[in-house]
Amino acid sequence: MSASLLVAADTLCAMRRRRQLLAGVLLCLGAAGSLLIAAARQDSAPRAAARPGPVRPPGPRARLEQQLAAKRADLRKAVESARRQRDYAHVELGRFRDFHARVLEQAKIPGLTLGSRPLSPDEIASLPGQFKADEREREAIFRRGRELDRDTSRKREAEIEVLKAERTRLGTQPDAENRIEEPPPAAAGADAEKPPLVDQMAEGSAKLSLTAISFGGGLLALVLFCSGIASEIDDRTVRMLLSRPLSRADFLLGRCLGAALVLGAYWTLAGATLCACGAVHWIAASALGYVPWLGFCGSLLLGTLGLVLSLFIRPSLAGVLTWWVSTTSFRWLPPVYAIVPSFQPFNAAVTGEPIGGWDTVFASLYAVDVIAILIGLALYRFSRLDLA
Amino acid sequence: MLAVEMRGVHKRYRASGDALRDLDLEVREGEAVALLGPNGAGKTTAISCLVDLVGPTRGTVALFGRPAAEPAIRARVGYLPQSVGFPDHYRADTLLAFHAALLGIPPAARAARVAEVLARVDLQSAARERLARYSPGMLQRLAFAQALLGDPDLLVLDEPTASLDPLARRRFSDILRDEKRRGKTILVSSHILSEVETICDRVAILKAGVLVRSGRLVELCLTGAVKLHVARLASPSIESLVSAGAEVALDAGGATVRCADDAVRRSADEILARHSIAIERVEPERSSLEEVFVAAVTGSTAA
Repeated sequence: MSASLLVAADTLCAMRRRRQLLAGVLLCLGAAGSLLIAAARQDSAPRAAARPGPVRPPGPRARLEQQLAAKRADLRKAVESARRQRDYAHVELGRFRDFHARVLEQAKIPGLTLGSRPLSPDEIASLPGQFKADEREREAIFRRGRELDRDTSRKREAEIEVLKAERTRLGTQPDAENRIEEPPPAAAGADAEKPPLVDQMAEGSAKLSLTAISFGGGLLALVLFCSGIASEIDDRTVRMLLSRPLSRADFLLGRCLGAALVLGAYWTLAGATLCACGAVHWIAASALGYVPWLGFCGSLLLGTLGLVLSLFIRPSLAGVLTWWVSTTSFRWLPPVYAIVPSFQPFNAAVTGEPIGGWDTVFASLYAVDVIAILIGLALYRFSRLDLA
Repeated sequence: MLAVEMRGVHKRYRASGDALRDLDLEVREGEAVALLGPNGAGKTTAISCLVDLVGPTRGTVALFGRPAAEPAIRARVGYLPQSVGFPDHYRADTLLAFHAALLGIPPAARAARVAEVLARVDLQSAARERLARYSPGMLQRLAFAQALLGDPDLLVLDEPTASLDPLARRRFSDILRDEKRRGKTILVSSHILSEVETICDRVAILKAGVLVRSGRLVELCLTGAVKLHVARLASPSIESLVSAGAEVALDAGGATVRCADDAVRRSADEILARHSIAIERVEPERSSLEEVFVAAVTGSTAA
């Protein structure tokens, strides 16, 4: 065990010569931080424009105006929805009738089949009645939908009327303190459109930052686990160490421990970057703690898979194959997961999807289980490898 | 006690086929043995089996009576590989301190031990330099220093002087002679036969993974012929000796009669006794190690 710790310490010392790798992963963290800061700015920009002065609590008239604007927007939506419903119903019914007409036309041809069975004369005779019933039913559904939209519109109009009456009443009383500038129609339109677009851009930036962090972690894991040990075998530095009273298992476990410590440091730094650069806007504060942990588990899993593959095939090929496996979903062929670990729980964490405490626990247990199996495989292979 | 014991060791590589074929090799404690052979004879594979870098396909390898695969037994072994590879971010002293820690040398004694072995290979002035700046010869000396670090009972050296200059080579031979005097066991593989002759007691010659010749160096070099030095030879005796199969050479101080085997020797003794010629000195004829080596690997008999 003490030999493993010595080898782990040696792995940490060896990071000094991997300056390019360290620069690469720090660049990933820097890029992630910049993207998060940019996302936070994009998010706050429109709100800042809407509030040029000091923030004051809205008065009764201001509140009324806000409610009125919201009701108008709802009304517009209801009217728009009713229009779409009507157009859709019109087109659908037309298609339905055309189809029925074509079927009835073909029914005149002898030998009409339903699937592989020919239709009997009684069935053919009953078709027009069935079709009429279907059409009536559809019309009834569409009508109900239209009536519902109409009711909603009427309700909104009534609410707007009430609010207008209230405004008129307030308008007779001086309420200078609560007076708000009526925004020009164009500006109001722009304000209504802008937030969703800005939100999307900001969210995209936030997700991109998580991708950059995840990429840095994956790169670090592959270089440390996959290329690190394989290159030691290739350049024969491993022979000097293994000629010492050091078992191969101690050597491999020591290297894995050292690499895991480096990955741990990286993900701690990544977590600090997320907190410092405002990721809390995009990830729930409770889930923010899970992201670095799940990212760490995912990187460790990626690294150990790369390690096992690099002991069987060329390290470069092992790296590419591992990366491909980690980024590909095999949902279309679930039996693949019997031999290939799933990266889904860890990828979900770094794509900003909501994560719960239990998800994290299960993902961690899964990682521990698979990593133990992979390290066992690596030990088995490494103990039988000729190092001449 | 046997320091090295290889019994029926066979090694087959998937790519290149059989490297060792049922090799039996023994090295007693305190002996210095040279493992010789042409390129590809299996010397490095045999040495790699000793330090468990390569597992034999069949057969057993033991060091000091314990299986070579046991990591603990390697604390008594100093290994110098054919191609030296060190991580180049290290300095010589920190690298050796790390190896000393792996060997279990107490922290308080490490620095002194490291300085001592670096001084032995004449690297004390470069102890704090990064290995990236080291020349191949310096790296070879450093590798030798790490082999000596644990004061091992067995030194396993694979082509140790390949990149050394003549001065360093002489120093290396001196250190090996010192170690031998201290009762350490040495197993060395080398192509420099003159060096082997000065250090080793026994030689084992491998060819295509098979041990073709082994024995004490003095015995291997004996050709079986003897030279009889006499004061004078008359013509009749010379004719009789030549007709008996002996070779006669006259020189200023007398004559030398070379007898290729025992039968010729017996005839020559009779002829010389008949002519009342006294034998001044009997000298067994020796061949060089190079001749023995060439004869073993080409299958011809030594001159």
